[in-house]
Amino acid sequence: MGAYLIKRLLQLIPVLILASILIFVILHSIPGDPALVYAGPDATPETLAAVRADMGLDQPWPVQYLVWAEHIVRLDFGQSYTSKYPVGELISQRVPATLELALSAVLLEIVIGISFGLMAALYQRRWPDFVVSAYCAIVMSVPNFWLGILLIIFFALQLGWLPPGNRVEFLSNPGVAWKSLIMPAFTLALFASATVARFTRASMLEVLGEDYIRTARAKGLRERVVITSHALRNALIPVITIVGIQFGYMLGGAVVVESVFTWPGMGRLIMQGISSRDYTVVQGSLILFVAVFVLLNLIIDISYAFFDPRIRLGGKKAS
Amino acid sequence: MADNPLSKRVTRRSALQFLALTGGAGLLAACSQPAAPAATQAPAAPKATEAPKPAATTAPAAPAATQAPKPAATTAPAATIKKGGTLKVGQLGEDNMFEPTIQNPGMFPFLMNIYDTPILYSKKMEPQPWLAEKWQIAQDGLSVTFNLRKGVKFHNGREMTADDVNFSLSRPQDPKVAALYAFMANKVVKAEAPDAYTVKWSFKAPYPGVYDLMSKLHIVNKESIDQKDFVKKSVGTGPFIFSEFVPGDHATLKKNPNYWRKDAAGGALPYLDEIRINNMADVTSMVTQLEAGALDFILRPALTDVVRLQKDTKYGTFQGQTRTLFDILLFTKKGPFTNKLVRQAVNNIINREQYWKTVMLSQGQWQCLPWPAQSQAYFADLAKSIVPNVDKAKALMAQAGFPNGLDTTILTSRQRQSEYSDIAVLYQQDLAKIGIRAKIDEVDQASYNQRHLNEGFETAVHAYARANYDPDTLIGGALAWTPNVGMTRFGDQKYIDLYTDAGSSYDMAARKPKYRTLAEYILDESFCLPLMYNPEFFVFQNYVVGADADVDYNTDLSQTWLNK
Repeated sequence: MGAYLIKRLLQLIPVLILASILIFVILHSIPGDPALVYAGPDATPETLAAVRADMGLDQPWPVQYLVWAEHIVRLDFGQSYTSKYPVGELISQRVPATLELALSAVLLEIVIGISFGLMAALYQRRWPDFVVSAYCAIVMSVPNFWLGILLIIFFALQLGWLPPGNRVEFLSNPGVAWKSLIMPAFTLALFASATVARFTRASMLEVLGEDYIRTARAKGLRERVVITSHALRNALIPVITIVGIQFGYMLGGAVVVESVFTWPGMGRLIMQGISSRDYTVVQGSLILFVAVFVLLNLIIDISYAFFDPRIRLGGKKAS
Repeated sequence: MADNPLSKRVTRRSALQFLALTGGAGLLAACSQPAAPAATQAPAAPKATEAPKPAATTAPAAPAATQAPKPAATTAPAATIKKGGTLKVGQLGEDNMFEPTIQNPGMFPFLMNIYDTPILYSKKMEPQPWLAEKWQIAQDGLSVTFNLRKGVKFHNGREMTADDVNFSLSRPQDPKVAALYAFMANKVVKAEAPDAYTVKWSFKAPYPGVYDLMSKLHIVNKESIDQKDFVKKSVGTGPFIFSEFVPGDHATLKKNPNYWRKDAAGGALPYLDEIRINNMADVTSMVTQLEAGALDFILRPALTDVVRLQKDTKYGTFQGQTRTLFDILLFTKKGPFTNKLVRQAVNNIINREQYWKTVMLSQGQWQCLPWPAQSQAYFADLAKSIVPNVDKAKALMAQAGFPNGLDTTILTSRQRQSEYSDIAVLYQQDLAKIGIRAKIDEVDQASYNQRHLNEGFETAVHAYARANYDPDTLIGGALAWTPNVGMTRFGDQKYIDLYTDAGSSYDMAARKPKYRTLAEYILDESFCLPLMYNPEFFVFQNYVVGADADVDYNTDLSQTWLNK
């Protein structure tokens, strides 16, 4: 296990180097001049030249990359072009909000998705299955921003039960904080829950057809034990993969939900960075995501061993 | 089970493929969001109505000790004023920092609450005493001397002096700072401080836009600028103290207990304890949050929402002074619009009134002149002198050698300002009437900025600011109009001469006929085609009292209070 972990962590290095080059090249290839965005549309050529030099953009790309990479190695993410704030500080301001939203959404996603998927599998081709299928089709086709606005209008504007947006920190006011979290988390979780439900259903149906399930039933085990201890546990392995990847996606890809609910998360930070060509912010955020994503995959792989005892990390599968 | 497409074993690869598809769709949705109004036109605008005579000009109003020189938009008897509370503000756009020289669209509307300027324009564009109690322009017009109010303290407790004013002037003169009004600051060739409360600025030539500069120069604390983390410690002399800032999310300003201005009854200002400015990424969300009561005050809502909320007694609206106009740019150095006749044909086919009714919902006004109605360079008989005339436009096209029309591309960016793309569609339809086959090139804000400044367009939808200040400031400072280096690159010698001559004196009576000649020349050359005003609104809950703005859409919340 220890050797496996070290090996996987070492694999991080080439992945991060490759990712950093890709991020840098792609970002710098996008049309748009950060100096122009900063200085404004009425800036003179002299002003633009001075701003470019100040930002280091007058250097060749390889030099710019190496300077940035050297700073990243020292965990110095640089300074935002537009706000002049340290990027590390900007990211650390956003991470708690992002984690809070993503974890809540994943929790909701798991509860809704697995319950619905399980129900659909156990009642295959009967009305619960059809209801779940309809649910999945509907929520997967509903745009996040539309659902978010709809929820705000109904629960905040009409009923006044929930705040329409803005994050309240749990430590400052827990009573209001959870209320401010409900709608964005639900909006973000809904689409993901449909995915989880469909994967759970498919996986459960496959597992339920396995010999060992038949054997368990033949042994006279109660159906609940067969389902929860034997079928569901094995069926969850692909679902874990999905949930893990979706969690990674939610960390940076929840920009629509964050915009609608004015949630100060990483998604908005990245979108703002792209929009203003704030290379340092986008590069710093993305490289961090790559690292987190790779680590998440590692965690997922480790979790397989918990759900399926036949799996041995770094060695052969137990027979 | 076998017929179930999802029944096969789910691998990580298949999961990733699935999520890439679904995630990609989500990202597309995200990217297609209208986004923030984008770096519209930055503020700053010129126009000095009655420019004081070159010599011995003093403040028109009495120094007024420490009394607030101007009333708020909505006022109430002093006895009923409720002090304290937090004003929750929503504004589109991602602010970056409260750096007063940059004036990014996200934060410039709040600068006036943190910083003060030497003078302030009244609603009639008359210079009013502010940090400067009185001023005098030299007989030869080559310098201005002004006397500062004594006892005004920065938020860190130190008294503001003439050195601070001159230091504040030196910042926009530094190209690295990328100040929006660098062109104004650079008119000052020598800045002196004869004593701690006297400032003298010298110019190479008479500078009639000097009051524009004095009204835009936010006085900053030298020590705070010297610190590396200035962005976290913006220190001014204004009614509110910069307290907390999470870039792109929110900022908090707290009451300055030692603010130098008093209200009409001699009471302390400001009334509010705190202002929380929330950056909103989505205009619909911002309006919804106002209606749900989560926000008290919003800036720049969509016009459709303004019109709707104006009918609801729960809300109040406030329209800022006209300072920006939409326009069509025609690139004059290459492509079809090098031909003046083609440009004139376009000018004669544009239905400005239709654009105004459709896009602006009849808010503001349409016109073909660069300067708005309150400007000294506005001429009513010229303002609507160009109306659509298909026959004339077709004849001009034929005369230009394009009887069968031509092909072109309209550069636009909804992200920069949503109205751009609405205008582009109408513009495209108008061009088709004279055989100009135009494709709409919709790009993001950063690409738009790069292209419309760097010869990357033939025609573009655009908006410019600085229209309400001195007429000279518009031509010299807004790149839609600046000769040669401007976006259209138009700048023949006659244009330069007319512009230079019109801006060479402080005597507006003498300048006015020159601006008429210049306006006629601009209409004839048709390189930049003004369309209509871009009205800017605030909408607020009806319990918000005393919200005001200066002539440049800077909110003045010093006399704002919450009647609830």
